[in-house]
Amino acid sequence: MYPAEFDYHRPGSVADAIKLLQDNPEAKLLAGGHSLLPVMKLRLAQPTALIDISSLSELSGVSEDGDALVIGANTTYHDLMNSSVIKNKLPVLAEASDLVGDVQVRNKGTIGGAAAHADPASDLPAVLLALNAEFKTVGPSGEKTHKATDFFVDMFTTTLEPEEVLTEIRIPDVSNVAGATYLKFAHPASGYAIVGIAAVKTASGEVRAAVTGSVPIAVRLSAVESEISGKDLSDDNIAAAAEKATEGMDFVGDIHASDEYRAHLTKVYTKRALKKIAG
Amino acid sequence: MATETQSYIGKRMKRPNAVPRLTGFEKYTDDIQMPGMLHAAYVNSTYAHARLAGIDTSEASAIPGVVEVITAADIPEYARNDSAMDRTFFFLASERVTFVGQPVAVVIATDPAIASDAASLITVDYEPINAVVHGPDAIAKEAPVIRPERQQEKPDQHPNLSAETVFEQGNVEQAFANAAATSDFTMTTASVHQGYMEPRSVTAAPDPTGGLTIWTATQGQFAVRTAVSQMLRIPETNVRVEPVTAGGGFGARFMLFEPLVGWLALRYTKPVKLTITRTEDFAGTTPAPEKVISVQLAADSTGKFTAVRGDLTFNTGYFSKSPFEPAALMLGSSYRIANYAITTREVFSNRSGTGAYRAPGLPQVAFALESAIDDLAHKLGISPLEIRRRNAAAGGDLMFDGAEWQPFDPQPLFDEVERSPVWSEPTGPNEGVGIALGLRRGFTDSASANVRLNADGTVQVVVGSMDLTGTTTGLTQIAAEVFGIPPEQVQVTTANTETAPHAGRTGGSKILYTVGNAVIEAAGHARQQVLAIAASEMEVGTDDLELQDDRVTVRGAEDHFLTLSQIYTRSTQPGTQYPPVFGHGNQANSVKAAAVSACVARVRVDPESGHVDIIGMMTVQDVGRAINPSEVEGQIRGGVLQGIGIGLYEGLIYDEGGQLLTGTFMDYTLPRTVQAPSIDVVLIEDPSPHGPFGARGVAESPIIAPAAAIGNAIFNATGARMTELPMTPERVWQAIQAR
Ligand SMILES: Cc1cc2nc3c(=O)[nH]c(=O)nc-3n(C[C@H](O)[C@H](O)[C@H](O)COP(=O)(O)OP(=O)(O)OC[C@H]3O[C@@H](n4cnc5c(N)ncnc54)[C@H](O)[C@@H]3O)c2cc1C
Repeated sequence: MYPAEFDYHRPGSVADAIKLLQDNPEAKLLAGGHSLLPVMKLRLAQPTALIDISSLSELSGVSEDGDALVIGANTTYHDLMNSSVIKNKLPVLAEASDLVGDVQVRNKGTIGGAAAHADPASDLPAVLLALNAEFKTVGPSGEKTHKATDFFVDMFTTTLEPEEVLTEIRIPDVSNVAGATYLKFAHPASGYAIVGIAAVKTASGEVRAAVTGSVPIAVRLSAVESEISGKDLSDDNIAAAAEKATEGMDFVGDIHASDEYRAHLTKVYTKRALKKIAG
Repeated sequence: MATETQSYIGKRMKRPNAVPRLTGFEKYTDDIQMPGMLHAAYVNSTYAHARLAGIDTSEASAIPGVVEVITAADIPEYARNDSAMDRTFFFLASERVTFVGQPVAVVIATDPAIASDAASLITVDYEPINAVVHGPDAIAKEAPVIRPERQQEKPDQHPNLSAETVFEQGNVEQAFANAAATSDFTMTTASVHQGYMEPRSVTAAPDPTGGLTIWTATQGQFAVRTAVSQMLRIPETNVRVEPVTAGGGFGARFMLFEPLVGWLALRYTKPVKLTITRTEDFAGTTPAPEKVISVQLAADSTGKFTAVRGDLTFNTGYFSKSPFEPAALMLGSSYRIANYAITTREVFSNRSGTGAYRAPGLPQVAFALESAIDDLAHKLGISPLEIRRRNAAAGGDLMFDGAEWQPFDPQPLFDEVERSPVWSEPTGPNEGVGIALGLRRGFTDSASANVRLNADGTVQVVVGSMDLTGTTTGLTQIAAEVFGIPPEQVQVTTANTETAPHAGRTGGSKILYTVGNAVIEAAGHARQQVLAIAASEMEVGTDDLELQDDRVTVRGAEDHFLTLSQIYTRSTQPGTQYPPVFGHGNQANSVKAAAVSACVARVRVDPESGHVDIIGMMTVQDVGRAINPSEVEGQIRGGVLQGIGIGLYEGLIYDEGGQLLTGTFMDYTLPRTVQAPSIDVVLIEDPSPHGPFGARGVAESPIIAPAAAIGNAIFNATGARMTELPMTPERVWQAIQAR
């Protein structure tokens, strides 16, 4: 399977990458390539140029900034699984990364690529939503920061403008996270989520949950959150909250799972995720 | 030859060709590069059924590097035969397309990327016609006609009915009326792809005298030569087929576009290569057919089966190749059932053709039959193992077609099942155990081989069969055993169609079973010649000689010997009185040995999601004689894993318009190591009277039972009976809801 012809650029900085995006309206940024290259090989995407940002060091690395964790867009799943900061402070990101695809995908695929691609079946968006992550983008008009709930707009659609680069993802109030989990029902061939549920419990008693895979784009389970908030995480309360997981939601159906089945699994996995963080 | 005196048979010798395969040095067809080689790429139909109103190739033809764009109008009349029953025999659709993925044009370019760029620029004008994708719909009254020419040929039947056969005996009505218990299921089983690693590829090159060489990873090189010769109207002596190592075949890899590539090579007088993509391979090759199988089974109060009714529909797509008869034969011949009425049919639809896939049709038939047996056992309160013990066929029983089962005894297999912890340990919550039988009548063929002595005293065995499953290892051990030298001194080669002794197609679990006998004869023949030369040179009788390692020694006189290398020299030097050592064997093994296995699956079902975890798996198989136990166990594990794929994961999915929705391995779930449970393999060695050293065909039996065993285990765990393959989590969940 050969992709259509394209030019290849390797800019030395984010600024150069933005310049190249401005000069090549049909170009695409290339990070790990594990979402982009498969669709190019099937000729479902035919960008005229690839702007390879995978070796830009300013986009990689995990660091602490006060009580926040800052993750460069180029950080791979493999990096997340092996970062001692992540393992100590937010192991849920390492655990969720471990569930992604296969070894090659985890070695090359990046958190920035996964977020920017906004595949409805991708794992990290749900985790990032439940963690209240913030997304920093840089473009011709400068820097912007988006809340996770604003960043993911629809299937394969984020607030990113065509000439912008996602540079980092910031998780605030890390010390307030008292429990977090990500559970998924995976498609056996690709590993993608048929349903994935992320749940976070904070020291201040807040519960946040998000779903991916069963819905057009990862989204917070607000009906579940309001049902459980202020209550203890007893089995009965969890069961009642999990029943709300389908409230006001549209589910997707395809050859791998019907919308009805995905709705059902969303409840089941919400219940299991809440039980997990209940401890 | 008694087992204990065998030196090399039954040993876990390493596969001689394993290293190049594992290190990436093996050369596959797509690796072939030749000076001046041209590359071809198909343009495939995007409609399942349409009239071809026009093809615009102008933009593609204008690309630098494009040599030509061929459409049906360019090809000779004889290759424009839309009504051919085999895709090999027509090159491109001319008036109508009948499945998504059907080639409508082929681009020839100097580079493979240019060829596929150009192919994407060709616009085809389709006038869509209604399509029919599912077997039972295809023979509904209002179904669109797939092969209009059949309306004239067979005006009294549905034009989409390819063929129908009825097997009947005894009084089925009465047996059902008197039954203590009956079972009645209709199973729908998906079309599954053989899923070999290497997409199909053919290279052809002309030779200066008008001949043609074809490199292809075929399971049947002689059949390819005949097909190319007939199709291109050149004598077989002008067609040489070079069999190339295959990246998996499983019954699919006989031939597909060899004549087309041969024709292109002759047209340009240059080498031409055509390698299709994975998506083209999924859409346009020869997967196993979709089937709908209804089974009704009756038993008396002792659990003895009294009658079976069956109705089978095999959806063969556009080409007629499905195993609808042999599969139906097994529906009533695996167990002793006196009364039967079975109708089996093949129907055309708007899918690509179908082909053989390891034990063609049998995993699906076993799924239907073994589920019904399980159901009867449950209804009668008899153990599923016991009911099978009471009814299983054995050597000497008659099959539907009147043939006798060759000797085999299933009872020792059931004993092994009873001993296995996978079967006998207690089950935990949501866990269940299931059993099924995998019975197959092997195929057979005539075969030949020759054996020569090399200058250094090593032994060269030449055969015509391609090694799909590790037969090279087995044939090496057989030659070593018979000749009396270590396997390291033996090399087995598959020669090409010009030089190889004839062998049948690699399929039907029969290469070791048939070519093995030819190698025994050829190696024995060569050995006699060696001993005769040695006897004459050392002036002793052949009875006084011993052949061991690299030499022939006079018994009791260690210093009195001739090496095999010396014997070579003495039989080839100028003026020698001895003919060169050249053993040949040609055998017609016409007896179809039985191959029988039993499989036990132990599962844990998540009742909330329907997810099935295989927590134990065991297969016991009577292999006759395991020439190489490692190769045999590998075959069995591979077959079981493919059976698991058929049971839980695999299925080509088409939408109502005939679009293939599972065109990559992201969507088509071939089980991988993460899905592979550990599989206990138990070998039973009850020799077949006709196989080499008692060996039976091994490869196909183990794929038959796993899907059925898993279905029965799911029932045992949940009380829900699965009636569709694959048994996806959603289907399991639905079945649990419907309990
Ligand atoms: C076999 C296989 C299995 C997989 N299984 C899973 C799975 O189980 N779960 C899962 O979540 N994912 C899975 N994936 C997808 C994988 O996680 C991808 O790697 C990831 O979604 C994209 O990251 P990437 O770095 O490879 O992005 P790329 O493919 O390089 O890019 C994806 C898109 O994002 C854009 N982009 C990349 N970086 C930036 C940036 N910094 N700023 C703006 N735009 C950017 C690109 O232009 C492109 O449009 C699988 C992929 C494969 C091939």
